[in-house]
Amino acid sequence: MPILRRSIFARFLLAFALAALAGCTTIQYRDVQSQFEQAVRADNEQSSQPFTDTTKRYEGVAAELTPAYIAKLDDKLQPNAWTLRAVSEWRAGQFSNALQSADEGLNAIARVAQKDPKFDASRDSVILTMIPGLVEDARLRQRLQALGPQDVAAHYNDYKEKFRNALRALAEASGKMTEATPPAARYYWYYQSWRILKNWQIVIGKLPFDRQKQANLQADEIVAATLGDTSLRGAATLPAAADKAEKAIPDGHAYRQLIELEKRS
Amino acid sequence: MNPELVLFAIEAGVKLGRKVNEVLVDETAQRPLLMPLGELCGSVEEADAMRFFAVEHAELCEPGGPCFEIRDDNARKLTFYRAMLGAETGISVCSPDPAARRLELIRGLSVLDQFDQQFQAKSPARRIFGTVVEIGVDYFATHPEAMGRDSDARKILASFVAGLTEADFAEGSARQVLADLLGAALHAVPENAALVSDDQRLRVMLSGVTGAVADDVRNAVANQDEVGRQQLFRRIGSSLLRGSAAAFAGNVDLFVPNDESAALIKDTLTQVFDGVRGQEDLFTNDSLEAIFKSALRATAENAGLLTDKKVLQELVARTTTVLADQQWGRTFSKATAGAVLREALEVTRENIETIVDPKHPQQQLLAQALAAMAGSLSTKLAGGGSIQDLLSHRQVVDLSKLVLEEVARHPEQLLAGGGSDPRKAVLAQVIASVARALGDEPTLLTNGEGFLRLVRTGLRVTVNNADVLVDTHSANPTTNLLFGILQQVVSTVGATEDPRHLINREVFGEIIERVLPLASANLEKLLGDEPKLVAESIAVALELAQKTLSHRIDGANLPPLVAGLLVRALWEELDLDDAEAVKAAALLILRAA
Repeated sequence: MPILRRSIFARFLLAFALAALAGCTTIQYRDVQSQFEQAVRADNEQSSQPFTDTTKRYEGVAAELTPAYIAKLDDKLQPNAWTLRAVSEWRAGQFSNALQSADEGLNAIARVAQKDPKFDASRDSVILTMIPGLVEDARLRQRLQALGPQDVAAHYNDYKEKFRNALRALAEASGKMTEATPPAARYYWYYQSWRILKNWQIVIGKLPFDRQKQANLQADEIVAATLGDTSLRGAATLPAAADKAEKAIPDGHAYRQLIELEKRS
Repeated sequence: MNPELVLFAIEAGVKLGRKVNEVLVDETAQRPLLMPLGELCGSVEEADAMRFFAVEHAELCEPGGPCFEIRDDNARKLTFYRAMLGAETGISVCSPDPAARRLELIRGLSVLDQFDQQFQAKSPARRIFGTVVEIGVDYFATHPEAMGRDSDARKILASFVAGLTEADFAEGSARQVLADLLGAALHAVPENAALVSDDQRLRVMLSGVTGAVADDVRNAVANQDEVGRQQLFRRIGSSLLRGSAAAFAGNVDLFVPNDESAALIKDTLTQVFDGVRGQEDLFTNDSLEAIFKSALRATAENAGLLTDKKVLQELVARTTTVLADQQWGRTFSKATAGAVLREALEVTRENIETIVDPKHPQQQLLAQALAAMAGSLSTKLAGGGSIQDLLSHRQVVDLSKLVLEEVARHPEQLLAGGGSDPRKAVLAQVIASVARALGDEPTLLTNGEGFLRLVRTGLRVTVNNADVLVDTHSANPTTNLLFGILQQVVSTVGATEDPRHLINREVFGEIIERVLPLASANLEKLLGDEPKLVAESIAVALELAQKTLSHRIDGANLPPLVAGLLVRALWEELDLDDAEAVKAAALLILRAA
C-alpha cells in the first residue's frame, strides 16, 4: 500500500511538473525584463553618469528577444516582448528595426485583444504606437548632432515633415487610451509629447533669425491640426501645446519636476 | 489501486500547474516597467528665447528695435532674454545643482503599470488558493467517502459541492467567502440531524444560502465594498447556516426540496442582507441567527406576499433604521435590536393579513409602531431619568413584542395620528401616558414588569375608546384623558397613608387593570361634574382598609373593592361622601370578592 501511495504522489508530481514546464520560458523571460529595466535605468541616468554605455545593454536585450524567441512565449507575453525589443532598438539607434518591431508588437496586441480587449489600451499598446514618433525624433536629433544647424537651414522642410510625422504617431497613441490605460502611461505620453514639441522648437531656433518667425507659425498650425484630436486639443501654438502637456502631469510628479528643471537649465 | 483516484491526481496536478503558469504569465505580462526618457536637442530656455524674439516680441529685432543689432547673435539674445525674464519675475531662474537634482528625480521615477488598477488581474496568491479550493471541491465531490463513511461532514460537503457546481472559485470574488461558508456549514449544520439525513433538502438549503452570499459579494465587488462584506460573512457564516438550517428543518412541509425552495431561501436571505446593510454591527451573531430563521419561516409561510416587491427587505430595513436611530436614546441597543427585529418578523409571519396590505405592500406598520414606542419611551421625566431606565433588555424586547402584537391586531386604531410625528400616534400616547402618570419616581409604584402590564392594559382599553382617551393633536401625553385617569390612581395611592402596606406593585397594577376599563366605559361623570371619582373611590377604599373595615380588607380584595365602589359611583348608585352607604356597599362588594 505505501508503494501505491508513493506511486500516486509521484504521478501527481509528474503531472504538475509537466504542466508547470510551460512556466520555464516565462521565468526566463522575466530575466529579460529585468535586463531591460537595468538598461533603462542606466539610460535615464546617463546624463548624470556619462561613462555608462547603455547602447550595449539595449542591444543585448534586443538580441535576446529574437522573433523566434518571442514566438515561443505565451500569447499574452508577446506584445510585451515586442515592446521591449522596439524600445531597446529605438534607444540603441536601430531605428528601422524599432519600427518593424513596433509593427509586430501591435499585431500581437491585436491578436490578444480579440480575447481580452483591454490589451488594446495597455501601456505596451500606447508605447508601441508612439515608437514611430520617438524614432523620428531620435533620428532628427542624431542628424542635428551630426550635421549641425547648417543642415537645419538647408533642409528645414525635411525636419518639419518628420516632426509632423512624430506628432501624428503621438496622436495615434493618444487615441489608444481608455479607462484601462494606467495613469503612468498617460503621464509618459505627456512627457514625451512635451519633449518632442520642445525639440522641434529647439530645431526652429537653429534657423537663421529671418526664417524663424515663419517656421514657428507653420509649426503652430501643424501642432494645432495634428494634436487637435488628443487631450492637447485647444492649444493654438506649439508652446501652448507643450505647456498643456506639462500641466497635464500632476504637480510634484517626477516628469513634471524634470520638465521644470529642463526649462531652467 | 483506485483508478479514479489516479485520474483525479493527474487532473489535479495538471489543473494546478496550468493555474500556476497562467498566474505567472499574467503577472509577467502586466509587470510594471520603467521607460526611457529620451533627450532634448538643446536648451529649452534658449529655444524659448529664440521664439520670444522671432514671434512674441518680433518688434525688438526689427530695424530701429533695441535688439536689431544682435538679431543673429543667439548668445547675446539669450542674455537679453534672461535679463528681461529676471526683471519680470524678480527671482533667480537657476537651480543650485541641476545635475544632482536631475539624478535624484530620475532615480525616483516610478514604473509604468500595464493596465489601470481596476483592470489588473487578481492577486496571484488568491488565484492559486482558489484553484486549490477548486481541486478540493472536485475531489470531495467525487470522493465523499474520504470524509468518513456515512459521516455528517461527508453529506454536508457533498451537498455543498453539489450546490456550487457553477461557481468559479479561482476567479470569482466570492471564492474566499464560499470556502469560509463551507467550513461554517461543516460545523453548524450537523446540529440539525434531520436535515443532514435528507440529502436533497440539505442540498437545496445550502444552495440557497451560498447563492445569496455569492450574489451579495459579487455586488460588493461592483460597489467596491468587497472587503467589508467578506469580513461580515466570515463573522456571520455560522449564524447564517444555523438559522437557515433550523428554519428549513423545522418546516418540512413548507420547504419542499426543489429549485423553487432554493430560490426562495436565496431571495429571503438577500432581502435580509440588504435590509440590515450598513447596520450589521447592531446585531450579534445569535440575534442574526434568530433573524435568519424567522425571516425564512415568514417567507416560507407567505412567499408570494413577502418576496414579491421586496416587502421583507423593506420591513427589515425600516425596522433596522428605527432600531439604529439615535434620536430614541438608549431604547434599543445591540443587546435588544436583534431580538426586536426577530419579534417583528415573527409578528409579521403570524399576522400577515393585517400587517401587509396587498394593495399597499410598502406600508411598514411595525416599523411605525417601534418608532412610536421608542419615541414615547425616550421622553425625559422631570427627575432627569426616563422610563427606559426602568426596563431591562429583556423587558424592552417584551415590550416591543407586546406593542407589535397589539399593533398587528389593531393597526388602524393604534397607529392613528402618527403621520408626521410618531410620538403623536395613539400607541405612543398610551405608552407615554402610562410613563408620565407614574411620576418622576416610577420605581416607587412599579417595576419593568409592572410597566409592561400597565401598557398592555392601557393599549387594550384604548383601542376600544381611542378618540376620547387620547389626544393625537399633541405630542404631550398630559393632555390625554387616559393620563388623567392614571394620574388620579397614582397620585391618590402616593398621597394616602398606607401604614398596613397593602399597596404593593402587584396590587397597584391590579387596581389599574380594574379601574381603567371601568372608567373608559363610563366617562359621563368623569367628563362632567365628578372628574375626580377615580381618585375618590381609591381614597375611600384605602380609608376603609385603614379604619372601619381594616379586618375585612387586605391587598387581594382591595382592587375589587376600588372597582366596586367606582362602578357604583359612576352609575350614581353610591354617594362616596355617605360613610354609612359606602360601608354597606363595601361589605357587599367584599363578600362577593
